[in-house]
Amino acid sequence: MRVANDPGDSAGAAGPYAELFRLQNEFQTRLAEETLRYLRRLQGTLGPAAPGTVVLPDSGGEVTASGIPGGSATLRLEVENLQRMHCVLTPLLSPLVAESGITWFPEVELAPGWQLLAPQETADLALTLRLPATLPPGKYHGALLLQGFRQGALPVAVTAEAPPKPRKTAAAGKRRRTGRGR
Amino acid sequence: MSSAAVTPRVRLADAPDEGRTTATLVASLAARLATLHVISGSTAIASLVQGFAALGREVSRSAEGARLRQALERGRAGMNGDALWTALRLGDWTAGVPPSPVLDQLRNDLALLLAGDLEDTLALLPIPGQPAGAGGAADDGAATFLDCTLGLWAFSRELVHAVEALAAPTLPDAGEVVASPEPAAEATGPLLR
Repeated sequence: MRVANDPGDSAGAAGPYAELFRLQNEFQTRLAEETLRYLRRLQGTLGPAAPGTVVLPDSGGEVTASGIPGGSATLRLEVENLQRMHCVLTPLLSPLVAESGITWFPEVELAPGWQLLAPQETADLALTLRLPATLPPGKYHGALLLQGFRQGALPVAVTAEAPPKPRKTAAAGKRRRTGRGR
Repeated sequence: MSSAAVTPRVRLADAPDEGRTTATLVASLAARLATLHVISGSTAIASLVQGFAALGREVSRSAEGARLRQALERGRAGMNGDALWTALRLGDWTAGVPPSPVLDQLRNDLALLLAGDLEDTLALLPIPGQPAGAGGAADDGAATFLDCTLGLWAFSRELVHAVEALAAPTLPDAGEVVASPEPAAEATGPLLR
């Protein structure tokens, strides 16, 4: 069989070896990419470890709070550092989603926002959420993220209660009764 | 306003096979510095960029991070940043490079600065370090401009808090006036009359 190297030759451009060369070229390219990726991953496994922190929830329950729209709700959490070294606590709250599909990006006031925990120290976290006056009542679910920790997310549920109906005052009731009597 | 009657409690513990002690943190820091001699500057910076991007992705899950991200995406900075990122092929450069655990490293270094037994531990050097293992090979995909920007924001915020916390116990009050302990001898000498 004749193999031509002339681009104008029809046997070279569309001949039986053209597809073979293309496949071989693609294979070599892919092989080089995958080898490089593998070597980089290997490099990552051989790199120095940075000891980290894991979060162990005590009961697995969710952090809950409730409030009325226009008011506020406070999520409270107790965190104990069991490690032998100081630990840093940076809590963050994810967007909250109601069953109706409404997503609420809460305005959060953290106390403290950033906490340095000594070994065996326990800290009380308080996250105060301002409930917008326009927030529809319902239960909103999300997560409390403890930044930088492995498995550092705790389920959160915030209930926006329906605002109480205005109560009738005694004077208003008397006025109404008087009016009816006339 | 009301809150739950029972306050939920969580405990922070060492990751399996990764105890946080002064010795392991010193070993980790020393190994990190030693690694710089055997990898290229490009790889080191790409690993840091991947680390910031991973942190940016994590912080984007929070309400505050998501708001910032949305704002950046809508503005000119986001578009120009993406254009630069694509034109300079920064995504290709960092793709596949293992992310550096920048936040863990910062927190571990901070813990070392507060360790009570650091001097005794330093006397034990060199301490063999542990390899990162499977956790170090996590492939988080290509870093993007927004991931990296948000990661830098979160990291910087953490760094500012850390430095302020370290200085807080001995920080003098702002506006403090300190008198000189005693007048200099030259001030009263005959040459200055």
